Amino acid sequence: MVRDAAASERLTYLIGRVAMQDRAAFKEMYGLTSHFLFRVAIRHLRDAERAEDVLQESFMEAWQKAPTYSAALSKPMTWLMTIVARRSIDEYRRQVREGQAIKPASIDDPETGWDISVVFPDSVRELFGSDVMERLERCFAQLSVDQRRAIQDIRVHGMTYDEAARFYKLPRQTVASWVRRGIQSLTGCMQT
Amino acid sequence: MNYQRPELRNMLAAEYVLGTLKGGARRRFEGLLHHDRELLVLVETWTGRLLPAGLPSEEVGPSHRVWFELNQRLDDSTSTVRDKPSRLRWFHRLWPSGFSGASLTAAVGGIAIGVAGMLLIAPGVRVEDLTLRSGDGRSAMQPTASTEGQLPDSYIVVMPDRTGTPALLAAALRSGKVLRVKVLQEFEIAPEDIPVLWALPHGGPPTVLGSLPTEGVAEFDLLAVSEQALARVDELAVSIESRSARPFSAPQAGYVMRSSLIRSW
Repeated sequence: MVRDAAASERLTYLIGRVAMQDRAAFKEMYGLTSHFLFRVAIRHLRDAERAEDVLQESFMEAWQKAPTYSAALSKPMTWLMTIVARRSIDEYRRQVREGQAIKPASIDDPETGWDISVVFPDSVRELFGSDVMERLERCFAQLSVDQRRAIQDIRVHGMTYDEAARFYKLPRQTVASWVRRGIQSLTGCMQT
Repeated sequence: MNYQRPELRNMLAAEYVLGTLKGGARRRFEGLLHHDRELLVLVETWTGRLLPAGLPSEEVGPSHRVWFELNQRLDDSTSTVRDKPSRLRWFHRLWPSGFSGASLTAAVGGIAIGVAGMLLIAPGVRVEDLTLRSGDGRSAMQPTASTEGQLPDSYIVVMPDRTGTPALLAAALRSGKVLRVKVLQEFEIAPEDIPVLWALPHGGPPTVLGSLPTEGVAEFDLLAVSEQALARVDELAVSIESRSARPFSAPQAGYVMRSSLIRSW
């Protein structure tokens, strides 16, 4: 796990080495990040085997695209998370099209084991910094239940507003309003 | 649309990360990202805020399969510059766990014929070493043979890779209480994983012998002289386990290699 700024710098260095096709650096990068990124994929897909497949494809993409990574534009973990999340959502949507996907469950469905209150696990706190994550927790807590649920459901399932509206059986405008007000609230809260 | 309005830029960045920005709006936004560094920073900020939300709290990790397959794919690519070009990445050529039958018998038999010579010439696994250990008080019994060039009564296991190249060698004197293992080809595994050696008794559950180094030699003290301790053991096997899964009670994802225990007498 990448625990602090020094480790994040290390990861940045490793991506630079991976850009030069350094296999040892790639192995170290995998060791540092794979557990966390696997959970990102699991969150979207809720299937370990598919999540592993996505993780593998994501690391292959990281191997290939490492030369395009810019530390000035993105932290290394968010760069990797973005790859995994995008691929996970693509895979989820492919499953939906082919009728293979697990039926979308709302983030507050007890069966998912996810917590709508948005309490970040220790590993996430270590990764992004406890102060930032605690503030983010407080800010998420200030959102209405509808706002929190909509933001997370859309994030996890990669829904459009239209899909989310059908999912909740509510007008599109209602769902979009939840999300946008939630974003505004989070923005204001994080700036205070 | 005025893309210079801070509120709009912030909202678009968040919706871009959230995935609700679709179609033309998304394409226009991505066009802006190419030359608007501040907008990229906003996207980065919202990525850090929204992507970690909703992660399962359970500390789960991928199986070792992911790393092995990744490694194989990189091996197969033609454009890689390897960290250790000469290293034989044997792990990907291991026999499947279900490999058995005539080909296995033939392979093991053929290897067994050459084992005496291997034990004598392989660095660190000389029979003399084992003999010294036995005579060192680890065993109440004396070695049955130690004449140079002659293999003392021993248990031997050779685990080949899929090409038939020996990947792991284990040996114990019949009268000794130490099982010595030499990793002949380095394990290529993720840092959080560890190879674990198992004894597979006839008709019983696997018994963990201990963790292996990824390269080099390991020794395992047996509870009794090997003729007793290994009497009912048909095979030895290796699995890859997560280090966090200690203590190991059963292999979590099957064996990556296994082979019969051969008696030299």
